Amino acid sequence: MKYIGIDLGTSSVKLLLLTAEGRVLSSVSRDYPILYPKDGWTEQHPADWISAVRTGLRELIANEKKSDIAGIATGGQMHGLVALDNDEKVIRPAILWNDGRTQKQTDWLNNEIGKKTLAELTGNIAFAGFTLPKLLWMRENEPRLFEKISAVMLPKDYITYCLCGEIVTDYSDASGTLLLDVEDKSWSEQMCSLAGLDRNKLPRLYESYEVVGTIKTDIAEEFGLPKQVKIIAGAGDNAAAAVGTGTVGNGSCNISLGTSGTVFISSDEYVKVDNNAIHSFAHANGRFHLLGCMLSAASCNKWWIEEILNVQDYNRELSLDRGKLGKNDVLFAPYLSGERCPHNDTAVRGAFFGLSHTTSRADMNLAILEGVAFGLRDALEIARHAGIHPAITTLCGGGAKSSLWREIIANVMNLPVQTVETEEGPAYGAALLAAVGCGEYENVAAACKTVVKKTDTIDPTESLGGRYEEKYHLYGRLYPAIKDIHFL
Amino acid sequence: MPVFIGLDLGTTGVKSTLFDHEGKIDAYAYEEYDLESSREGFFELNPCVLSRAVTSVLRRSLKEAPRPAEAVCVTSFGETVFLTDARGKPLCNGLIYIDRRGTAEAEELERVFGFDTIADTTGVKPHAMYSLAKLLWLAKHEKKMVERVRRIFFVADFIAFQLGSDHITDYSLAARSMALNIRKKCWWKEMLDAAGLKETLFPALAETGTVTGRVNAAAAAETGLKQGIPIVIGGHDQISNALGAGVLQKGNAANGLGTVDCVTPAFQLPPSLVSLAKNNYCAVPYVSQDLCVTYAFNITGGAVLKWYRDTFAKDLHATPVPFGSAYKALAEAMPDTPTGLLCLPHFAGSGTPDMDIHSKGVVVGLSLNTTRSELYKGFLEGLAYEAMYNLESLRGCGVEVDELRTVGGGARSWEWLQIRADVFGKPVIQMGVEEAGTLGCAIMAGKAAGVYSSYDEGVNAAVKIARVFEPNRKKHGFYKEQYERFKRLYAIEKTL
Repeated sequence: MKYIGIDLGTSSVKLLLLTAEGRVLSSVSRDYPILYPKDGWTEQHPADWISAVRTGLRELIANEKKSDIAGIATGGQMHGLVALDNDEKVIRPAILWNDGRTQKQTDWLNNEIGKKTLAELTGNIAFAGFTLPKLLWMRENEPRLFEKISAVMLPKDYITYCLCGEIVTDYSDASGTLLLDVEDKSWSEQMCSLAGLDRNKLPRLYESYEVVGTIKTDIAEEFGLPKQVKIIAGAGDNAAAAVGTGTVGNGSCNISLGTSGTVFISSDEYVKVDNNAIHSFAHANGRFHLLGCMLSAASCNKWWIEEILNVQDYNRELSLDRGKLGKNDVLFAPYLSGERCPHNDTAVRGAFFGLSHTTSRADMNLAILEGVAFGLRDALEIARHAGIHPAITTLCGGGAKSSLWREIIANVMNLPVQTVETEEGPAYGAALLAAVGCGEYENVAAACKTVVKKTDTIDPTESLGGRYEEKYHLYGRLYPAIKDIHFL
Repeated sequence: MPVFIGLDLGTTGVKSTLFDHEGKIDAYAYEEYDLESSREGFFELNPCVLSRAVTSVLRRSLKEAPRPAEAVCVTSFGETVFLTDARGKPLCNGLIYIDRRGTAEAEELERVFGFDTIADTTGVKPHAMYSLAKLLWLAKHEKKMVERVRRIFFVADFIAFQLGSDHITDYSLAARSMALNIRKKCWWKEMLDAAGLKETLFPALAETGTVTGRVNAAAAAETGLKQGIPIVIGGHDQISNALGAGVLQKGNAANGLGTVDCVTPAFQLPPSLVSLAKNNYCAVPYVSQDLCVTYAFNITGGAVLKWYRDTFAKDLHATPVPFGSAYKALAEAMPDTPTGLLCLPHFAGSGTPDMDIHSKGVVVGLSLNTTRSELYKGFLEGLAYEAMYNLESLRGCGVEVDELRTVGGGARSWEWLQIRADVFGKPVIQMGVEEAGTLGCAIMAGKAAGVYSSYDEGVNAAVKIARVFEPNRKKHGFYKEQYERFKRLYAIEKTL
């Protein structure tokens, strides 16, 4: 049988067709616009998602035998707010995860309701990107629209809804709403009343690999798909991507070096994190995970090379003398768009320290790669402090293509770093979830074990690891220093 | 129309410029030389190399000039001394101020006299860079050679002597020795005694701009100068530079924007020089009798802009011309609004008032929207904040600056000067002067030759203002707040 995985990203949707053995038969992607109605606001029309999914799906299966397609699952951008009215029509454009309008609501939640209460009720604290602050914003600023809400869901769930007519979500995506009691895996009554929202307006909760419905007849006909195609709950993009890299099982770790950077650590049990400095969410395998997110990761490098150096040739800029590793006097603080983990500070900005006349272009280039690695290490340290000690990690995302960066990360993290053979992101993980949901594999771990192949292990060395250990301690002093300058 | 020649002896090269009495350049020549560094921490200039370069630039500039010069005035870098026999023949190389020899000797002298007494008597704090510390080192380590010494020269009066002058220096060069009593304007006998040096070895003292002799036949034959024309002692290069920028009154400051960013304000000698010295500010007698100047500087001036251009903007067809095309391209693309970046321009440690050799450069406030030109502007702003820090520290020592007269390569950048005016909240004047140092010499020569009755007359005739940059009040308001953060930046850099 074959399975379709959909990744509803922020700027495009990616669709992928997978065999039961994990071979990618075809994949397509379709762009859609991000709306910026005001400075710092980001929205999308759910209708744009649907038309992109429609044309993408048609192309994906155009030359494939359709009768053996058994299941579809969707992963995608988390936290976004999609609100439907009584007629199940979209009330307003979706407010996206990276929208910046909710600082006031976020502060109110963290300061007035209090981080302690939030953590007790949900396992997390408020971040501007989360869904609940968006609902509060809507209640305050668009009260008439807020009154019309009959159902709330997350972006990927709207695709599921259009495919099978069910208003559902999964635990991993629900974890980012601040409405879910993550440990208890149920919507929190108290959080719902705080939002002024009936609990029954929230979607039904499923495990990511569970079947939530069957494809609508008209859609099956439109695409020539079998009428019994199952729709599986799917997962938030981080959890879906983790499945795709085989990051399941206790202490399993994946680092993603995309535009933003994430450290994803799977855990069999719910993990309580001091000060909620990293997220403690439900995982797509039915268990839990920790997630540290740095807002600017590979984007630091892209900014540096394209915007400041004004060149395109990444390879040339990054072909650095390896003898320089760990000996760089320049330190870079990668807070180019503020920082989420561990500082949760939208105002902080990036910095260079240790410059002198002998500083070369190569030193600066290297400092960027190292600074991002130190930022990721911050997230790992919090997990270690919470008692989770990964023994190895996979590395994915655009930045993973640089062997230099892989070596830096291995030594900064003091972890062996692997890459995966097939790197197709959340769409791949979603398709695997569909395969599990349709009974192809006993569970998510079994699917990963069969399908995901890991290669290219880079081990940290004692000498380089030791040098980076020292630099990391120096790096740890940068954030308090920068913060001190900006807040007089 | 009379023509005067200004001769400027620097640590990296010598230039000769001929000016008419209106400050127009008739001819120009420059020649570079290398310092000698036989061991780490040693930096020396060979006086014969210097002499040859002087002969060469004089010959070349005079050959090019349409009219002969009526007087020659010599200015030079300070602190370095040349030791010679009775006829002025050098016995060794001159030690440059960056040479580390003399550190223990400076400490020894400080123990003998005390910081406050040295600072208050000489206008400089005890330090290895000054001549006396170097001389004491030589007396200990080169005893035999020092016994043969009959004359001690500073750089400008050494060259003047070779041209035919008497053995005379001026107060400003003498003030760089740590042995001049700047209040009484005489050699400080106790200090010379402590160094075991007889006063008769040292040059006689005169006001800056004094005629110290006439060009003799041998020098005339060698250089092409007219025999018998007056030789004028132009003093320390920062003095002639300030005069060339038109500094005449208390509160005026010259601001040289070259590799180093140096502010040279004129002020009245205060009752105590200790607080200035504690902030690493010296006091040096100026051309006007009742005034002195100090040097407030950041070693990382235009040098950081060159670093930025060479490291990040190679694609902008960098030319070796300072503030040539690459700088212009960067400046033209800069946003008009202040950047919000904070750049600490300590790329070679810091200058006055902290003189912290360990301090490093820092940039904070970077975002994904920061562009290359914006970051460049951040550095221009950072240099302005650093200069502001000096202005503020000077004020704390009782030295007020109300007018900055900008010269040097960086003064060609309108954008930079506007930023400086906006940061300082004071007008910044762009001087229409190409070579302020040698122009200052030419004005001294003109006065000595009687063409100008006073320095005021000379400055009025020869020093032109090109443009005045008035501060923008709104931007100044923003920069004032940023400046408070900037000061925190250095405090924090120190802790890292």
